[in-house]
Amino acid sequence: MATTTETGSGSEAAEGHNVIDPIHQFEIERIIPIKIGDLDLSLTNSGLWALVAVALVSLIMLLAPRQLVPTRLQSIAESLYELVFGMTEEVLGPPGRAYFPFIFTLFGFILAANLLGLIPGAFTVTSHIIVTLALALTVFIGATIVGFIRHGVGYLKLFVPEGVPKPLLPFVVPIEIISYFIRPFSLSIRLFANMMAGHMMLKVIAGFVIMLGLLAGWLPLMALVAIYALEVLVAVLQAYVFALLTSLYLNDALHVDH
Amino acid sequence: MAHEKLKDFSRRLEQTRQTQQDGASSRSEEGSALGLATRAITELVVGIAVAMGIGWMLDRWLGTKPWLMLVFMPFGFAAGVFNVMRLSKSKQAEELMGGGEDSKPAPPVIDEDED
Repeated sequence: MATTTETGSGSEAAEGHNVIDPIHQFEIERIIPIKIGDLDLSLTNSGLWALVAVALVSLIMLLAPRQLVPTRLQSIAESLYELVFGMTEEVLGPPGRAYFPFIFTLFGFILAANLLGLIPGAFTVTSHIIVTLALALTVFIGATIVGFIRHGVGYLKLFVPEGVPKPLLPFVVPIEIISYFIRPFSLSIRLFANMMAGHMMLKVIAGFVIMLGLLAGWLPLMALVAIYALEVLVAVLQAYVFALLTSLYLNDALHVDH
Repeated sequence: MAHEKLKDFSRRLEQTRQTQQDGASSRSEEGSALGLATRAITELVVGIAVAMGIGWMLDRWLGTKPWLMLVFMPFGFAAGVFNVMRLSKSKQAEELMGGGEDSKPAPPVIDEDED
């Protein structure tokens, strides 16, 4: 186990050798320090893995050959494309095609970041709430702008659902407004919490394997393999859910009368 | 010649797909069930948290310490429940619960409860 912390104090790092620390994997470390004025623009492990994720998706999508009988790489690229295209088509319909590139880019980045994080020793970009919140706020602000451009003030009708009796409106409208502003947070917290909890669980159980050793360590090891498989599912699923909710929110922006 | 070969290939591909269909569909169903579950949970928890956060910030701004937070909390809870109700009526949920029409006439009943 490589427990070399440049950032932590020396004594802490020395103590942490035998103690299993499930939080350590989320620590941000500067790889190439860059400072411009007061701005800290250092390339961190998080930034590095985000770049790796971008490179991975771009390579898969760009290098995939376009043959009639697909190669393995082309199959990966095509099934990813078809998955997201089918989903946006189902939720948004033909007018949503303009937003497909954005949704597919989001999906590709999150999927790559989630899956790369499962490589032992890698950093999980999406396990930090600041990253997922930035993505979710982009979606939220973007969808709100689209809504106002499309419908003008009429977009506010979203907060007044049809068929609600007048006396209930003072209660329903605030609830609708709050449920609108919940969106970026539920979107980001779901992704971040899933990734962080999964990785912490893996670390804790991996710690049990080491603590129990050869005698009884195989038991948590079996659990670890099962949980790892589950985490692969969660990584793909949460990327898909993020893309699905993005298109649902865009759908609200495109069709208010709903 | 090449055309014949392709036809044969697409027939074999279709066959293989058919045989693999069953296992794959149940697995993807499990996946989307997990997706719906995580969506419902976050909707409930985050609803309360965000509403209380808004209330707390307004409190700090207006100096009305705990009151606005307490007022906002039930609204946040209601917003979370609203979102889960909406989720249960969504296409994904209906697909998962099997057809929707014949087996599940439940959603309209929930509506009446609310009034």
